[in-house]
Amino acid sequence: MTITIDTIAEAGATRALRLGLVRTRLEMIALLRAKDAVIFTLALPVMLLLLFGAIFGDTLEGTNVTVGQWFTPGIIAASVLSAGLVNLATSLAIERHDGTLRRLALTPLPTASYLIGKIAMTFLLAAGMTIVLLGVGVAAFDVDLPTNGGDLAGFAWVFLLGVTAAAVLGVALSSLPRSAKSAAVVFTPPFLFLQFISGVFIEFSSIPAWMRTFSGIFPLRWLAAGMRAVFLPDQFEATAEPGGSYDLTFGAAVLSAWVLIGFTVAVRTFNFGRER
Amino acid sequence: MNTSTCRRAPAIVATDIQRTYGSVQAVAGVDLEVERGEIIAILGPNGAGKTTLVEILEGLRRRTAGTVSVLGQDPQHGDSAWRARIGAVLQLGTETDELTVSETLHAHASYYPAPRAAADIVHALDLTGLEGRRVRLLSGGQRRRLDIALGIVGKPELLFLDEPTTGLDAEVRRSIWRLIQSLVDNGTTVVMTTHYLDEVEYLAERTMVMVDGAIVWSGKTSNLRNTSARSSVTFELRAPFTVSDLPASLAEASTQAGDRLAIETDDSTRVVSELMQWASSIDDPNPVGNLQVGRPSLEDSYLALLGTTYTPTEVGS
Repeated sequence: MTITIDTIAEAGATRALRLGLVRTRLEMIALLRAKDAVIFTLALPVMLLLLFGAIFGDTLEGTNVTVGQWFTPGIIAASVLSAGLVNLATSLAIERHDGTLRRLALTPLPTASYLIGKIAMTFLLAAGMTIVLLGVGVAAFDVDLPTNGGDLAGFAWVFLLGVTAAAVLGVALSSLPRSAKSAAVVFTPPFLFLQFISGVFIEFSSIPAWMRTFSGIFPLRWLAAGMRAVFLPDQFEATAEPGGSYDLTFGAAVLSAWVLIGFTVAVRTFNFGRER
Repeated sequence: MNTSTCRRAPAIVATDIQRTYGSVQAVAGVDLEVERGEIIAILGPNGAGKTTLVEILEGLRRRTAGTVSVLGQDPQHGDSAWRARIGAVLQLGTETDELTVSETLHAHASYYPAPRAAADIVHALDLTGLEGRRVRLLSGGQRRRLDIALGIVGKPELLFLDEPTTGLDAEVRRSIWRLIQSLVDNGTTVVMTTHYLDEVEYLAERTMVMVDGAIVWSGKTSNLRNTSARSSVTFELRAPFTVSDLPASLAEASTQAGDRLAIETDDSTRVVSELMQWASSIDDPNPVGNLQVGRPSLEDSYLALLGTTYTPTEVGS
């Protein structure tokens, strides 16, 4: 035999990125082939949006914004976050327990490449859900798509910061479930709770002040406010938001802090399950 | 590093490997040396600690004590380049079910610096015609062959097989054995765990028997058969002779089994020659009939090692 494998000649970062693209392709193929999972993941928020819009036909008190119109940015925010906090975390937890990670742990695949694939899948899922929900929002509730530069830029940073926080937190939380079976149910209840206190299902200014303060610790409240700022008429901020402001600067700081925390925990805890 | 010295050094050198989980000692001081190109089996009942031991060698688990060198490196600090030189087939280990055989194989190949050609692997593992099939639609045997394909696609110098044929039918097991044998013939070092004796006998030059975290026997597989379990010499005495007519040394050792007598012994040659001497000293043409010497089966030897009560196998009619 003439093959000598003393070092992997390719530079570490280039190789991790190249294999990250290989993994991304695999994740995409696998995601698109699991049609039932994709359809139900997309159907749940769409169903909620249509249901809320149909049940509460009125405009919100003191505004000319309909409930369907108001609910669209909130459910988009929740969907973006759930792509990481629920879907990614569950898929990682299942692969941790069903042997997929152990097999990969014994190959020279860098953990970074595996995570690139998973995070790319999270972005794809979040983008897909956003597009579908916006389509429904525009068609059913006259949601205005952002046209001016300010709103487009606002949407870009809220979406990117939101999905990044979702992805790193999903990785960080993925080691919590103790089995593949429990993975599917561990993440959903806390997330549902978060949706109730963060102004997704219930108008944010109408929930108790202490609950608003508490929800301000978590990313969803700020992600939802950021999406409302983009999709609702400008006068809504003054008439319906607590304190008459979205507080987006502070919100961006909270989201960034979560990205940092999530990244730090993810890097320290995620190692394919090798004992270190 | 000089490649030729590297080749001559043993693939694995380990002393006093220990692993405890709380108060349970899963691996209790194992010494191990595996030469390049050798195939060694770690045989033991479920729960003996085989998988934990192999996982320590693979770098998946930490040890609580001992020193280990696998391909010249401590597996606990094994890096990407080190993992490119080992291969592993785990008991549990899936890949995304929705991918096809070919997609899975190509992806795995891309992780390694010098992989085998996918076409060669497909051929070697008899996966021809299944390349486009989704992994979730494979039968148990096909899936196991894919597992093995993924384990060897990186051209490993050292291959770990954790119960490679558990749950497979006889024909598939045979074909997997032949494949493993051909890998060894081509210079791959193999460490295999199993609880199948026929697998050990077919494949492994050397066997270590592991019970309760410790190696209770190790040596050439061919010697395992003759270890600890005893042979039995059985025969009939023709009337009018009875046990009491035999010399004392034989009579005392005899037990009646139906109309036959059986003598368990470590030295069947001595028993047979004593019996023949007695027979020729008697004034009867044929006092002893239907003499048979039973070699203990591999299973007898193994069970004896495990401390289970030894029951002699049925010998003759």
